[in-house]
Amino acid sequence: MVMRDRIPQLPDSIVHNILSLLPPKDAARTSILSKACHHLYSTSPFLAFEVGFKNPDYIITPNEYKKKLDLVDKCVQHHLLQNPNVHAFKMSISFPYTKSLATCLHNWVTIALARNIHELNLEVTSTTQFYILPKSVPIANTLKVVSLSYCKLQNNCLGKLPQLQKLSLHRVYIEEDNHFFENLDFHCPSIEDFKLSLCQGLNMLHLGSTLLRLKNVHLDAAFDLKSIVIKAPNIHRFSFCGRGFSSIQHNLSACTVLQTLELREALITDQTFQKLMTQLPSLEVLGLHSCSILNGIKISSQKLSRLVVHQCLGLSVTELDTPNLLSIHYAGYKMPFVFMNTPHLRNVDIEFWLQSLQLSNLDKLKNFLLQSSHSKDFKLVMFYHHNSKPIFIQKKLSDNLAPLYHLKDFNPIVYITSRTNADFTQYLCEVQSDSHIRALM
Amino acid sequence: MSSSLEKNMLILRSSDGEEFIVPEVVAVMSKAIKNMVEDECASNTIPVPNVDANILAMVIEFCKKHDESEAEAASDLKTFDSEFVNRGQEALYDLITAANFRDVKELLDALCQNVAEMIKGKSVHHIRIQFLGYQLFEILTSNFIWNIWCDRDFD
Repeated sequence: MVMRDRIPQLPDSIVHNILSLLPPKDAARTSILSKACHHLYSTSPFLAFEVGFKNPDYIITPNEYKKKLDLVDKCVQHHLLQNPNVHAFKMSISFPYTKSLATCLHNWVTIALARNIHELNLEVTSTTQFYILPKSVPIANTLKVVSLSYCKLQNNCLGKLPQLQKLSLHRVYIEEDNHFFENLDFHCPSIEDFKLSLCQGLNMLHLGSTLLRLKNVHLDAAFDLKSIVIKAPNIHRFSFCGRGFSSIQHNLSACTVLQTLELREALITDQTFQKLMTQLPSLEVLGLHSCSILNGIKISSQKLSRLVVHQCLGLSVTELDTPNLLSIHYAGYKMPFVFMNTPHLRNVDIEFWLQSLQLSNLDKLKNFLLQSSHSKDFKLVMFYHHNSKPIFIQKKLSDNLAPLYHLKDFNPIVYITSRTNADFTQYLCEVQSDSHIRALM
Repeated sequence: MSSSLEKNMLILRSSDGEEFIVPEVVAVMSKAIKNMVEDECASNTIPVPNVDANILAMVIEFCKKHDESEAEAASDLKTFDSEFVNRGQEALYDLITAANFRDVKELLDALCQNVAEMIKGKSVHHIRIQFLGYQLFEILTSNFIWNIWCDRDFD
């Protein structure tokens, strides 16, 4: 038999890296493979636990609950105290909320912070109450990554975290937003990545000009959010998901170096959008997803190199003056681009229903496709519907768009793409599963 | 160095003596080589010990693709990565060692992710067959009850 036991012989750091990529349960399983594996698991710097019930409707007796929590507590404490290189602590627990659970969590977080961990990831899924973070967080000097879900912050602030680089809050209850952001401005100067999703109680988002290192901001529909003011000067990427809630006042005028802007399900009007675009001279990537009230817009930018427009049903882009655009991705019902100045276009994915295109616009489409020096690589593919086989494929889209005229009555879906065949087939599979949208940006 | 060689090309020599001519931008994706180039101790052929021609060719292929497609969508690159690392265990092990030794972060990440996928969701028994080649000694010494306990679902 061939000896195949080479993976555990890899350097420890690589095995630890692999273990950190596994779900906690799978990682724990490897510990009984052999003595070497056990040693590798118990010295892994990434300590992750996932505790819960398989059947969420299972009604547990108080006795069982206590027994199980005790077991978990023992195990977690053992690992936290015995592991020599603990670096990250990740706990995801979905127990009904009780006082004893809160005590345990307090205990774990305190021990973990006392061991100078760099990464804290806490997810307390309980339907009844928010878990309030212990006071020991405000003195954590080594924390670089903090990720909290279903928690509440004591005194509404994170405290002094001078090393903090990445902060991610998901369904965290923030009561006094002034206090929270003031604290962030003054005590977390190293923050680079800020992610906020579905947080409650938040009225106003304010990222001050003292956050010089902040590069990425991701906001996902805070229900009560009314206004967004971002003064941090070095933001490169801003992504916003509005979930169709009330329109929000954006003020990004300080973000002069913003390169990537992504708007998803945002109720943004034409005027607001135009104003936003004038504030962002360095924009290179623009993504618009399901912005349903956008109607007629002009996009004119010297630096824009990638444009993604997805399911913005009412949208028509009357002018696309982007001389340096390299890549365009569009999926929707009608062909929205009326006038385009895009001589360097190289990667194209355009999908629309043929019937929505007026014959007069067909010539414009032709002009736009042919002005690019790469247009000989573009392919034209037509389908009856998303799951059918292609009814027409033209490999080289030269000046001949005649098939578009002939097949008009069938109302096929038209794809104009620069992908290779294999690539395109795979892309179609992804479209059909509709999971590709997030991967595109 | 032959005179036809452009300035920004480097020669890499594998452990079994085969030579590869690679653009410098591609070669410096390996941090180890980058350091050598920056310290100017890479005037001539760069030896890449511990890595044979077969594996070195694969690493270069990976780096080339990543260098070319910097502007392309991340999703395309991901598909390439997952196809690239989908290999037999021997090659996988050699690739990981090479990527670690030459410090090619992107390749190492993709490879680790692949190994993790191989382990994900498998039972202990399965992983043991797959990775450990079922060593008799281990089976005899490992605690049978302990195995059953770990393989059951936790409620």
